[in-house]
Amino acid sequence: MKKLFSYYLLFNLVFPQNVTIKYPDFEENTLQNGLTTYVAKHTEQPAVFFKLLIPLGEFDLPSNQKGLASMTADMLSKGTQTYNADEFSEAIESTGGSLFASGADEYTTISGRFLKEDLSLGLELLSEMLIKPTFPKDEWKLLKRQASEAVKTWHSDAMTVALAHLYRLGFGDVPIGNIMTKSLLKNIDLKKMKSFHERLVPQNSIFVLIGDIEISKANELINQTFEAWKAVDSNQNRVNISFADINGIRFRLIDNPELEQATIGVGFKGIPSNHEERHALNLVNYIFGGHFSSRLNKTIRAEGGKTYGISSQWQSYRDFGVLGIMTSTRVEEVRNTYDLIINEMQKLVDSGITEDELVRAKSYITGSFPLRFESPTSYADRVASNNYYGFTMEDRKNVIINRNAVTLNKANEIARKYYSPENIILVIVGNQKIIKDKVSDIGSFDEAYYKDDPK
Amino acid sequence: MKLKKIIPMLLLSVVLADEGDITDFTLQNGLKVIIMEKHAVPVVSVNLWYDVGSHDEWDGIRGTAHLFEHMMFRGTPSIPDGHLDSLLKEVGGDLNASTSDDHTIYYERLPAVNLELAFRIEADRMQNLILNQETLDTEREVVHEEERQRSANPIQKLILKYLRSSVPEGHPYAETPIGIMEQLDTVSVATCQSFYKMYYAPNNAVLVIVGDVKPQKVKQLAENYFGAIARSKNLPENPDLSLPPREKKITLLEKSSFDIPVTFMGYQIPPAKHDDIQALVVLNSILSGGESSRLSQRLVRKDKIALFSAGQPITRQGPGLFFYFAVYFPHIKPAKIESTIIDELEKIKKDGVTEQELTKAQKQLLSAKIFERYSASSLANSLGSAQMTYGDYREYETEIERFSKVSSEDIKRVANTYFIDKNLLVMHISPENIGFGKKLMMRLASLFM
Repeated sequence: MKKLFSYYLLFNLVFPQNVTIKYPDFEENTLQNGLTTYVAKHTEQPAVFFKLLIPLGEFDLPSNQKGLASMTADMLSKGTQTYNADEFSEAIESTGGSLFASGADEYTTISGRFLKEDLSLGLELLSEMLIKPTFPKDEWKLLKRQASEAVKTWHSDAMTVALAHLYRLGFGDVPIGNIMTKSLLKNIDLKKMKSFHERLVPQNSIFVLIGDIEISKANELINQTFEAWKAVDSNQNRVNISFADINGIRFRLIDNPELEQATIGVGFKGIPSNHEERHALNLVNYIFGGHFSSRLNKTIRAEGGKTYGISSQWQSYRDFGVLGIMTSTRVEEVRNTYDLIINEMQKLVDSGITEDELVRAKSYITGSFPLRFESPTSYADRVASNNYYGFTMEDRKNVIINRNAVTLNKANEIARKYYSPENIILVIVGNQKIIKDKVSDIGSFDEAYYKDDPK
Repeated sequence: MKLKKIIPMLLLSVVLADEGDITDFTLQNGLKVIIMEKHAVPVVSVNLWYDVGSHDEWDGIRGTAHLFEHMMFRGTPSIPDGHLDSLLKEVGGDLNASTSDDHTIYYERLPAVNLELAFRIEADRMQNLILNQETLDTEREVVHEEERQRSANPIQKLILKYLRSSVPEGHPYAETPIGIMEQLDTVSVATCQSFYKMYYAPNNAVLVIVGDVKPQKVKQLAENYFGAIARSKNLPENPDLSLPPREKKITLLEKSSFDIPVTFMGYQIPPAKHDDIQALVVLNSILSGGESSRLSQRLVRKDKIALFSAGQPITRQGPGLFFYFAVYFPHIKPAKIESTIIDELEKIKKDGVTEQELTKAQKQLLSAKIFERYSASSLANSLGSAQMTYGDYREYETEIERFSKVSSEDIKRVANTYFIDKNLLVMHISPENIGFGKKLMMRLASLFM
């Protein structure tokens, strides 16, 4: 132990805790159409990365249109005024680069990476898919056929099943509470996709470019790329989403007779990404279940041998957040594992974290930052999300200082506030014949079959 | 045509960027150390490769190499059980490990200023690992859970079965690294100790350091921490990994709870260091390098019979597998998928590939190499892999050059050499529990396609 302590001192002395994160010098501009752009030079390799973030996604749609943002993004590369789908993929892949549109919960993004020689082509293709998609009927027919098969497979993974039910119970019938199913896919058509595409507007959108290029040249290319993207008034009507206030244990048992393991999911309310308590929650969750030697991993894997992995995650969005614990264990151990999770939560509430744990967590946060910025794409991602989540560049640069300012009292206040084992959503996926008797006294529960859509 | 001009220029810049960056030395006890300086970010990746994998196991201890990888995280007299990960985390670093058929690799990724910590950890657990019944029993349970978790995914379970079927029973590759649970249950502390003593030694390891480091400092650390560790005196010879030529095609039919049919196809290919591998890698890009590749164009875009197809050459110390899979519509017969893929391969055997396809594939491989160079851990992995495969990490540096020399004739030749019927292993996986009504609907759907 003596030697261990000496390492600890050594590394804390070496690593100053109050440092700002050095970002490349991004030049910020606003184009005439309202698009905000950030450009930085990064010459390590002869390559360039970019990301366009448009704050419109699945959360801006009625719950019965879940998947519309995602399918619209998929269709952007399936035909434009200049390229048909095959010409488009050939053009990208011939460069060895990539260009990919994604319709996610909170926003739509188009991300690209190209060797610097191919940047002009990459941006031309971005412009094509963003501004001139043609949504060909035959391509939609093919994509819909493919998607209607692909969505059938979600229940093959027990973790996905657990998460889908946990979110449905926590959020209800809103986009995040729905998983993409065959029946929801029927609600999507070309007309809706075109209409969604019309809502992808430059105002409030962010474009970040970083790589081996002069900033002036990059700005010139950016102007050309987005010249034809016109500002249009767009109705943004985001659905009101929040995680339910849970009183007691809301428990669902999901039957999959084929499983040798039981998958346990525990969920409870968290906080949004830019909440003032984010730094404290980040540290507490790291200590509780955020890494390999966290409290949960130590008790349930390293000492108990009950699982291959367990983690506690804080999933944060702009307007809300959720905390979730997920693991799987052999069916005989389902009850013991659940009890151990709840005991750890209770210990966290009753006794809090220790000063030593907090110092170590801060030390990790401080030291790990350089590791997160090896690729320029990390900068592009962060700068784009900064703006969306309402962070200033100063917030991002000072994240280490702000994390290190969290006191033990504050951390423990947060632990008590958010980790209440009495008020949780619990889902267990497994062979009901075996596990039902072992868990039935946890509380009243409803039952579902793993292939059924979560309700 | 334009691309043809670009490739040599890029090639030159990549090669020049490497010059002088990589050094190596070997300690007296046999530990090979490879250092690549990369100063863009204050980060270092440390990979320690042991030349031991599941192919070194013998019957009765199948799964031990992987179990042992778990045991290596359980502590030494100076780093007590449960503290290893914390030590790395305290400085912001991370560690992990993996076991393959051929090797076991331990990775650290940490701020460069803390490089010494990785040396302390790896040197310590190379010689002082505590092996006792309690931790063995716990890790055995964890491995059981790992195996159950993998088996819970119907496709992952069948991929393992497919890979096991690619060699005859009794061959060192006939079991995947996760092993046989019944055998793992009987592995004793004494077996672990003997395994440790035999394989975990400097003369059976390669240490790769990539990052913001100075070679002189690394050399000093290597000598200080690893220099006094004794060689293994009874390092076994590598087992015979050769395979007799296949006598006939093998087809496996499986049912699965996965709701979409899947077909795996694989041709036996030579070991990773064989000269034909470069051409096979280029060919793979042409066949399955994205939506514009030949197989995707044919199966997904033109014939519209599959949702997705992809593949990769699985290369290893012994014979590997040129592996493809397709996920397809339920009304399509597996034989149709198989014959369509074979039809595309036959075209290449007969006509080769176009100059444009070749250029595109070479550009894709070159770009991938350039993007890889942002990541110290990817570079460490590639250098270690080249050292273990070829016995010389410099092969990594010349890989792009070798890809650029592959010709259409080379591709035609390797296609004709390896894509032969008796060399093929197929697994067709059909969804189970399809009722009569659903079958009828599928049949009707196929009539109107």
